[in-house]
Amino acid sequence: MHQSVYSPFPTPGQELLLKAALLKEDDAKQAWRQWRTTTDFERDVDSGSQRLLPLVFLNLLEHRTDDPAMLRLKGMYRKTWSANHFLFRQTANILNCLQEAGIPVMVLKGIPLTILYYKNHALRPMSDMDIMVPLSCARDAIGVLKNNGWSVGNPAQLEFFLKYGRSTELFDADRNELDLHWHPVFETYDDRATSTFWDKAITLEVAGVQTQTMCPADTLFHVIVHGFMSNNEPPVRWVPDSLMIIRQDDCPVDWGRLTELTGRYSVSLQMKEGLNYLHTTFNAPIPGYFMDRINKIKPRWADRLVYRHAIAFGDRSAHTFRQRVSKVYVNYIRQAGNKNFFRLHLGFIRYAYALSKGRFLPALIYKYFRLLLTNR
Amino acid sequence: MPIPKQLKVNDPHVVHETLDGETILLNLRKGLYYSMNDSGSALWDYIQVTGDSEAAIALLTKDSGAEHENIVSSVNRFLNELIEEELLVAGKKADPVSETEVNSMTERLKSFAGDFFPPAMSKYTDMQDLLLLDPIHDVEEEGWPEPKEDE
Repeated sequence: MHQSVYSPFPTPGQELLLKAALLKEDDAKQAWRQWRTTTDFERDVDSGSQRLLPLVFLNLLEHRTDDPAMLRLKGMYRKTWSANHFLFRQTANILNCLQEAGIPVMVLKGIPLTILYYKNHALRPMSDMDIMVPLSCARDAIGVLKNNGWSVGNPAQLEFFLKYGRSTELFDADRNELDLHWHPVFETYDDRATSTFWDKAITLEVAGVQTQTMCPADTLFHVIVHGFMSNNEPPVRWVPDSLMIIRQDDCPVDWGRLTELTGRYSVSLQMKEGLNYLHTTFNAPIPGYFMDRINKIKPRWADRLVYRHAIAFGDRSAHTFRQRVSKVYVNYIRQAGNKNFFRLHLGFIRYAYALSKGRFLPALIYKYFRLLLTNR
Repeated sequence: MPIPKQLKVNDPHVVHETLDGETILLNLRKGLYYSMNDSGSALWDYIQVTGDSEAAIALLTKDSGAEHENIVSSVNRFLNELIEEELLVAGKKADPVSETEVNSMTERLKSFAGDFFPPAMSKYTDMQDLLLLDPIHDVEEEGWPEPKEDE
């Protein structure tokens, strides 16, 4: 079966590269050799795979691998190291501005992963900064950022995002990108749901500035749920991100906490399939009792729909109208919580109306009911 | 210019890493990238750990005979360049250093004493452009940050 590079599960080529990056000794070297014989280094490297190359380089260097491509891998390592140092410094300035304005701030994704788990600025390429503030402070935070040279990427949709979304993009004059979140994922649909991440937050220093981030269990939850949704980039990085968290001895995962989040936000399928993959392919040390508990959680029809969508349309290429409606519908389902079937779909009509501002509603309703009947 | 006896890295504006015999540095305030050759890297690592410029010169010139003056002048030139680029500043390092680390850096620097070649550093000034380079397709065989020559 053809698997898109945008699927949450790696393609055979991506998996070889992951093994070269994450396994030891001969297993890593063999995977690298196999990847080199099956992949044209100049032509076939998708952007998700490219992001793995610094990690591949360091692992192969430690295992004394001789290959002319190592020079360019080292270049990728140098570039990531440099870009991340500049990005962290810029993030520190933003954190200062927000914290001086009295706004609580948390950093998400690449920056805390780099500092706490990869422990090396060169290993985890990233294209933007991810910062979270409480929803109640989001407008103030946007105001502070605007005063410091940032502008909202899609101002026409900002009100919709504040009501139904989880974040907005901002850009500065040099087109640097900042994702300002008020919820980490769609599933944490309101301030009450998101407050649990603030309650368990841990401190972190970014380029000399004290701030907060999610605890290890919450970070693992975030990485996996984010990996199983439509992404702008091939989402393969959820694999090394998760393994780095799970393998870290000085920041152990609270598996009880992860079980609680998995049940509360209805992501048992993502968690079960994702962690099973990590365990079987990379021998990730996941406790058996945790997997037993996750396996006992019974997914709702809506959870199965969200999961199926991640597998089939993990690709962001929602080209057709049907695919676009499907994506909107699934994003709504993810943030709608445990409503009954009737309330859920009344809510969707409101959601779709707010999204389209009434322009395309009749067509959307027609297509949506057709899609719903097909899915059921 | 006389070299201060005690030197330290210009924290927090300068970050550095040594990997596989190469040291790379960033001056974050000025937006500059640097790369050092083997002997420059060994000298940098010794200075950033011990801060002792005189001890570094003594290690490199031990039993150097007729080469003594050449070594002293090339090391002084290199250290002056690091100071001019604001990578090193006069002062004592604040954090304590482990004996193991000092010993390791000392041994590495001593290995250059017998077969000395001058420490050198490359400087890259156009970071905005360099960070836009595709590190697979837009670079020479030696990898980023060496941009491919126009054909």
